[in-house]
Amino acid sequence: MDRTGLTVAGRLPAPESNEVVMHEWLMAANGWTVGQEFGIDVNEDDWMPGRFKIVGVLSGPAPMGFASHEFMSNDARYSFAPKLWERLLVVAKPGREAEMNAFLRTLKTAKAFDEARAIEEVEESFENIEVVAQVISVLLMLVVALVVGLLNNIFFAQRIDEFAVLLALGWRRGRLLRKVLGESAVIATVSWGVGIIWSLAIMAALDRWVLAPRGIFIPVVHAVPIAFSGLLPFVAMLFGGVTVFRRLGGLDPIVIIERRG
Amino acid sequence: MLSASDLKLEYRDGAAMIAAVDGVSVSVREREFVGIVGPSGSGKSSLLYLLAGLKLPTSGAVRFRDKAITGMSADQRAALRQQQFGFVFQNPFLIGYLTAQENVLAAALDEPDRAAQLLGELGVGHCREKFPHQMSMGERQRVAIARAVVHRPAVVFADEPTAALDRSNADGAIECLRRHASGGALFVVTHDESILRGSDRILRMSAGRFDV
Repeated sequence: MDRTGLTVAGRLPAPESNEVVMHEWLMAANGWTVGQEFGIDVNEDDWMPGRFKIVGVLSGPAPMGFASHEFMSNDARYSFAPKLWERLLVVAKPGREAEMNAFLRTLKTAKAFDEARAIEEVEESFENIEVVAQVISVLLMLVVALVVGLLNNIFFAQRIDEFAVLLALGWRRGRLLRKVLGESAVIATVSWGVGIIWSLAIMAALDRWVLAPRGIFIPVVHAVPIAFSGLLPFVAMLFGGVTVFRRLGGLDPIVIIERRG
Repeated sequence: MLSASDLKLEYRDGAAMIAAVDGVSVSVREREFVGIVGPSGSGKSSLLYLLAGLKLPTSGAVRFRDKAITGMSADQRAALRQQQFGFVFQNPFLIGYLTAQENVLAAALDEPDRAAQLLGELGVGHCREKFPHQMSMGERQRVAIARAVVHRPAVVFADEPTAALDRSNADGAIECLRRHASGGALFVVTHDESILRGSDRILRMSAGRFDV
């Protein structure tokens, strides 16, 4: 136990008993407490049916659990099942973890399950979900861009007197467009920055008070979503710019001046 | 300095063609104060917009210092308006989120001292840092006048500049315009002839033509 970096609060399972110790993350994720029993005796989808009693909580870098080897080997329920529950815990000497993992991966008779493999398997299982999430993100961005375009129409209508009088005074349409784009760029960038700060604050709060207590660990700061969201101000500016460009192109200042006159 | 020959501005109203300006010719000298009067719909505002390059005529030509405005591109006409012309409209059309000083600078960014001086001379120096909604209509119109003359234009076009003002404010606004546009020609369109006292010429319009 010392070499794994794991510590146990409570005690280890007694031989030939249905007692287990579970990692604190799994305890949190399932809402378990020490002394509690979990599992049911008959479950055709479960390769490890039965009821287990939690007698200790593991803490440390590797999320795992321990059961009694004698119990798992002798209980009739597990006689015909492949011993999927049986693992060999291999602990590297200090500073030689990478070397050990590389060696274990060369074995033909065993499957090494290290952190990198775990991440690989999780990522593989989420590959399709990521594609779906990206498609949804692109669609969301288009919706946001459309909304920005519509908002720009309203914004243009509200400022039409100003644009008309500036055109009459001799401002060129290009200069007016640059002014509007400049304003949009400042607003979009500041809004994006404020949005990121708010999102990180909300994520941190969720992480602390909702996710982590349930054993769900996700990084609060992640470069990919932040970089992806960085496209939003550009898309917003592009749509806003195109909208204003089209409206400015057809604007006759005299029509506005005569109407308001 | 500014001349127009046989200007026509027509627009379609259903099947009929309406002539807002119908064959007008006029010539204005440097520093001349010209008043244009006439009833509503007589074409006086349309003529002003044609002379200022804000609209293009259906036919005829406008020339400013021997250059045909009517042959210029939209950008060239915009540049001409910005450098040589000043405008005062019936509605001051100040930009709501800019102060009086900033509104004046919208016509000439590089003239902050002159903008401040003009606002002072026009009696609205105390409004320099005020926004339009914090000023009276008379004060706003004076700020609009400062904006029209801040860049020392060759011609100032004023379209019903006193229509929204009471008598004393109207006289004050015209006096301001005359004094501060004195370096160039001044066109004032109005249906109130009394504000044109002291003008060099008064042109009367009806049905798109000058009355003879």
